[in-house]
Amino acid sequence: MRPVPALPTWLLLRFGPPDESFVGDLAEEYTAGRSHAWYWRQVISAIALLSMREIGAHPMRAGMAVAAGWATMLLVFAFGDRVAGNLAAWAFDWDRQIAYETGVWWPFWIAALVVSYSGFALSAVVVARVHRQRAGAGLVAHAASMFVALMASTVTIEVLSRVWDNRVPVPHTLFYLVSVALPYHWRSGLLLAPAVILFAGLLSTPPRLAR
Amino acid sequence: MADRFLTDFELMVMLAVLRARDDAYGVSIAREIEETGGRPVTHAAVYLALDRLAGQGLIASRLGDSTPERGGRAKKLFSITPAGLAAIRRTRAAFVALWKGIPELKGTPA
Repeated sequence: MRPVPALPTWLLLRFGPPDESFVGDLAEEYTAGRSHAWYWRQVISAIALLSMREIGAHPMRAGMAVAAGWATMLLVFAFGDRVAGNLAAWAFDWDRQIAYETGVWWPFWIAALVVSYSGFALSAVVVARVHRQRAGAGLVAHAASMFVALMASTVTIEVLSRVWDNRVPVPHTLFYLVSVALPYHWRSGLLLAPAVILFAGLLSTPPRLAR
Repeated sequence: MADRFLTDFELMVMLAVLRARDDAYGVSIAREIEETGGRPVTHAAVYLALDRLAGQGLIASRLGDSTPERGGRAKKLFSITPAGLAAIRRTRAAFVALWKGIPELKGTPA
């Protein structure tokens, strides 16, 4: 008898329906010869459908989880300049004043990236903890809100940079949010930021069912 | 919920539960819908529909056997309640009434 795939089962026990029989149904089908891809498809559809139903049934709860995530993230980013500057100085012997003269900013950009993704990850941990019973729905809502915010900021900056000749002022706190979706990061944050939120949230979510 | 009509998918799920008789659980219900009904489904869609119908008192559930191939997890066996049967009949009557008198659908295979 072949064992069920470990990773999708791990996801299912955290974000899937809190029902032993559903997990057993998928295991029975897999043992009877269904493919690995079939099992993955079932798990992903279960998590997506359940999350959508829970968000629809409890929009206020999902909204609170998203608000908690954003508050955490913005709090981290409020200290972003100090943390990123110190991190770049410690790791790369970088100095802000010298950077203004020499134009060498890459150490700060790397440190800023660390701050950005730490903020995303920490916000996901808070969402998973605040929304403990429905962590999947809270994290999906938070990741979706992040994608929408980054898309909106990307479009806004793109439009304004044409109007203002590439000089768009961004508040320092928001820099750590929007910078991940700027062209010099190949706009990678549009997908990576929601992915990090889901992944970090996943790691901090205890299983709802025993393995 | 006494006069509730079923959606097309809920109706399929309810009929699959009836067809599977004493062995109506997630796997057999999904299989009935796919093989007899010809509609591809995910287990999650079936599970959520069953959960919703149970919440409305249209189906009842009890725990069945657990087997090694299920990872030791028990089956959840479903049956239709009298309210569920009434909902099926009501929905069927509505479909049949709407079906009648449409010339374009005359002679259409069932």
